Amino acid sequence: MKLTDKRLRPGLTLFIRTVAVFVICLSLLGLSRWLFETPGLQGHLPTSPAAKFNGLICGLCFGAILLLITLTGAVAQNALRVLAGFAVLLSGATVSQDIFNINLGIDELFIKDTRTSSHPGRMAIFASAGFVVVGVAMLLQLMVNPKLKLAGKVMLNGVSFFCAFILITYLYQVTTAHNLYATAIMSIPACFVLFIISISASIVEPETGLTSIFFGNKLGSQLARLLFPLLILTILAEGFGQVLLSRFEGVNEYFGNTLLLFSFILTCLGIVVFVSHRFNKLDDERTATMQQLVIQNEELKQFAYITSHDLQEPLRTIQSYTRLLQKDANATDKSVQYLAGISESTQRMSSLINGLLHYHLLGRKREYQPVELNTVWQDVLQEVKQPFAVIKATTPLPVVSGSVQELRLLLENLVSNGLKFRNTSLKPHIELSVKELEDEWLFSLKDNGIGIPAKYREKVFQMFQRLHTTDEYEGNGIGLSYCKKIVELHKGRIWIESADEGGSIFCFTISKNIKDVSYA
Amino acid sequence: MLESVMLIDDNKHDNFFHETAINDTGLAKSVVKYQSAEKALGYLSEAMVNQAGVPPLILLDINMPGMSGWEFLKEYQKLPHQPQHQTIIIMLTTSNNPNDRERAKQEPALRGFLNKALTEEMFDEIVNTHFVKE
Repeated sequence: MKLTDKRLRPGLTLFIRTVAVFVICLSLLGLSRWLFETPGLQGHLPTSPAAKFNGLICGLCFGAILLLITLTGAVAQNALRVLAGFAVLLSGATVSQDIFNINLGIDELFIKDTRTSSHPGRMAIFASAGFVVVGVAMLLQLMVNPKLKLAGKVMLNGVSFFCAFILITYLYQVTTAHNLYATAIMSIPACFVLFIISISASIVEPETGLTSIFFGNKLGSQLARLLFPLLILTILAEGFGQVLLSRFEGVNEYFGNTLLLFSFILTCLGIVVFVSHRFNKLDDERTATMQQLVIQNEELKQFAYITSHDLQEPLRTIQSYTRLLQKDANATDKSVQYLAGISESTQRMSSLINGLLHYHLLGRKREYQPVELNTVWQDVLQEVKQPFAVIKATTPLPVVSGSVQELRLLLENLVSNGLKFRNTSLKPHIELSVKELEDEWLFSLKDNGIGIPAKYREKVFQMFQRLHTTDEYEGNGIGLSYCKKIVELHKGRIWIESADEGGSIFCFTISKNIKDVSYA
Repeated sequence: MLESVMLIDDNKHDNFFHETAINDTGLAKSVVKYQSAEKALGYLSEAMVNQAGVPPLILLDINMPGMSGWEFLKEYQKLPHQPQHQTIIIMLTTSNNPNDRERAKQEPALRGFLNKALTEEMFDEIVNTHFVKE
């Protein structure tokens, strides 16, 4: 129960706090009735037994626990543990008294009960059992182990379901076979309190377990939020109808059932129409968006090709005229220098446009296949061909799922980046290593180059971002943005860490679960 | 020495540069320039009928407004060819689209695929490869 969690929505916090305050007030009210002997202690509701003093203490504890859940800090967490432990002990002892038929003397530990004949002061077994389960579940939720957390959640859901059952029997005033109200097994306020406590505790971490279905933003969760309350209301109404009909003498039992079934079908139909209408509308919007996306994607593709082609043409013309002028120019003339400037700039512009086009075209064709990275790495070494540098892989490289061309480009760009920004006083040393993680491969490419200051480590991956002038290091600021795009196409991340000797470590991951994703 | 070279390119600057480069080599007597593939086709059709002035070499651009280089090739097949006229057509384009290069290989009438701009060396090479020196 990481309650400091920012994902806990403010609305949920408010809800949990409200429930907590409500439970605390209810328990205090009950306790004051015991302490000050106010009349009317037969129970809050005529058909239900009164809550016992110990039960009210448990209620008070759980109210406080709910309040602590929404607070941060170690003190709150520890207080939470202590309170939950105490409540579990108290209710657990009560349950064990019933099971082993013993008397531990805790029923009237705090106050004497003169109103109950059998086992005075003792909590109803279902109430105390409920408190035990909820208390243990809350303690489990504080654990780090996700399985234990989930177990706690399931226990909370179990309590909610049981209490819901009791509440429904009360709602319908259903009699049991022994002609006793089923509610006699637990006081209705206790049941209600247990119900809201277990619900509140189970939504503290809404993204796990059953509650995750109701708290997501996906379509399924929207459906769940819409459908579940409607179904609950319908079923409750139908059940109520059945109870009413059974008390109405004039209606034949079979006819009554038929009537109920039919009305149930009609209501279900209504719900289905309502829900599907809403979702069809959502679907229409989605389809329209998808279509638009496909069109835009196609336009973008055309745009990229056409722009690059059309932009290159005038550049080439400038270049050609410059060449003609250079032929005519007098070698001593200043214009030679100017013409060289024009020529250099147009060439640069041309390479930038090409880079932009290639960046855009990366990942257009998604053809994933097993890629033997050892082979790719050898190819890259062949391509780079730097006899003065030490470039090696320190671990065997795996076979990953991906695009050969893209992965080669990635490694090539990273290696040449490491070589380009070398420390001139050192022999370039570049090492590639890989570590297998649960869902991905983690690659690290370490160099002993000039390093990258921490504040620029994200910026260097942006298009056309350069940290040095073209005079210091040539390049167009595209290589690393290629790398980022390629890694992201392989469902990974790329980042830079500092190497001990002042160089950089380029780390990137490649997912093990890449599926073919093709965008039109 | 080639009798004439035909340049088909909508870009008049390119035509000018290519003409300059060809003239500088001194390997062609004349250069015929067209900025439209349709007009070039009209000229060729007439030349073939008259059996005079059919150029031995055509340098063709791909991306042109109106009739493209590909369309020109299709129409060119339909012209009344004379057996004594062996015209060589070479693509001269900015396109570095690999699809275009592949497609060029499939075209029977095409004998080459070059990227702009044409230099004197490139033209030298064309003449050396495709024409017996006189």
